[in-house]
Amino acid sequence: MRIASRSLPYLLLLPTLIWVFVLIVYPFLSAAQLSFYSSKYGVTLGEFVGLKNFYKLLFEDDMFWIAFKNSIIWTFGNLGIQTVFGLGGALLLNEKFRARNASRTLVIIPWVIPTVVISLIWRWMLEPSMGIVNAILSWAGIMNPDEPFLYLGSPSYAMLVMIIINSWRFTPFAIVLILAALQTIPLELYESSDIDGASRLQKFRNITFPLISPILGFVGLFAFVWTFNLFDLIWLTTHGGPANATETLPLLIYRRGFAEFRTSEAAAISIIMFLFLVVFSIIYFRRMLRRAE
Amino acid sequence: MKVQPKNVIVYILVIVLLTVILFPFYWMFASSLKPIEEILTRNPMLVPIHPTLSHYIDLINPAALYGGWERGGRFFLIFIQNSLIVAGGSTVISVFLSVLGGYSLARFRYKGRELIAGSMLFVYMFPGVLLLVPMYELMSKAHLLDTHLSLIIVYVTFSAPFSVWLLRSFLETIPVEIEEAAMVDGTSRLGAFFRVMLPLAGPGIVTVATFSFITAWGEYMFSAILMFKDTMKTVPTGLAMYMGYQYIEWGMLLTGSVIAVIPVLLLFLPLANLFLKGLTAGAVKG
Repeated sequence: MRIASRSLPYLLLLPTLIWVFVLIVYPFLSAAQLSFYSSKYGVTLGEFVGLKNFYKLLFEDDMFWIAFKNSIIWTFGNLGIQTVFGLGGALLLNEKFRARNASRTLVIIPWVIPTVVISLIWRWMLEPSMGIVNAILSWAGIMNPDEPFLYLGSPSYAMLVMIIINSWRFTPFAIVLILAALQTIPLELYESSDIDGASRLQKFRNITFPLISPILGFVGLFAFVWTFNLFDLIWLTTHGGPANATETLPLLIYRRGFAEFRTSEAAAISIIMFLFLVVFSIIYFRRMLRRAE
Repeated sequence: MKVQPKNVIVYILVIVLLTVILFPFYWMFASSLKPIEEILTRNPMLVPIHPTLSHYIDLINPAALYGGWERGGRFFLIFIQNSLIVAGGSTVISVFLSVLGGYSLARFRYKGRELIAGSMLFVYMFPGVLLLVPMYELMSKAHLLDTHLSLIIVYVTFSAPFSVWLLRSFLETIPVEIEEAAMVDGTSRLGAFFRVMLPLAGPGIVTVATFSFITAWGEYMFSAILMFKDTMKTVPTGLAMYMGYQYIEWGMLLTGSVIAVIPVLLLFLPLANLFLKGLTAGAVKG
């Protein structure tokens, strides 16, 4: 009985730990292994080729660097927009007004909707000849209806449009988390600074921002990892096109692995992305800690 | 309450925010009710002039098998069925695992506890796309391609760790004294768990279940690589199958989207407050 109750907490966690090990750690290790082989179609490992896949990707493969560059633009574009509007939205919903709770609930809706639906809605709204966005623009006289804006079909603007769509979807999440952080700030802090005659901007700079920045930093890292690895919305909306304008690394993994069946190359891209994320996270954490000191 | 100029600005901004967020959904819904002539036009109207349920009927009617929207009419109900099985299955397993794990992390003091809790969050952060290739290999070796089970396994992998983390923060808010009192009265730990903890943890469990269900219901990527037969596709991959690049049947697809959104909203809206509380409690703590 005593032994049982001492091992009980571990026993309770065991199913989850085993599950995670078998389905994340083991597959990840097997991806690492695959990346050193020359597997095609994934049926057999093929032969051991050492670092050849990595060498090919990094030094001979233009597509890899196009996707890498797109991934960086994609990630920082999204994070920039989502931070600014997430903070703005959170400060807005932190004001006292009627229907505040209802608004908070409604705001988060895009986040829970299936990605395929988000993709469809936006493709429909941005459809060049029948979409509502161009209809409004030509009605307002901003656009000549005979030369419609192409949005997702335009190699120069598709990336920007994708970033806006994705930010539309995930900013609500940022709003809700930042809002939760705002509500941990004790009201007395503001009251005492009111007595000192602090302006709104001063209060934001001296109280609000320093107190929520640890949470911002934490959420920021999450958002970075997620955005960098986002696959479904881009794939469903543009397939990486037009002319590779929105081809990011996750799409390249999918293409190499499941359209061209160059399995080992796809695995190698995953490993490169993983290492990149690890290095980025370490640098990020260091900076965050240093700032906290 | 006096109307101050500052208040007016707040209201205007809130209305703008809500319009930007909600209009696309309204537009999807309005379009799904429009007859084809009102959809394929350069001058769309804000409301359907001659609203019709024809897209809904076509989508669900099995008789549409050989007509109308290719094979879509018949298959859509199968997509829904597949999604319900997969999302339901992974929710049940996820809840089971997270009740056990969450209880362990919330109620016992032992070595490595914080490390395990932290790694749960790390696993949640772990990008699924990096496992795309090996997960396919694994399922292929296990002869699980084209089965509901393969998706259930994958979805539990990504929802259980975060659910453990989420439920732990819920359980920690339940005073340990309540449980102890029950145990003093002669109830075993197990009895106290079932009679006292579980009912009190109800809101947390519901939150975790909602999270798991919504995640699985909307997942596209793994469904796309693990399900090949048209009859095994889930709602996201099923809809995507009809999103061609040259010609798109907007009416039918938008209608499919409306139907895909309904279960999510039915689950989420009543629970939104609880859900957000659980989510943000976990995040703010982290």
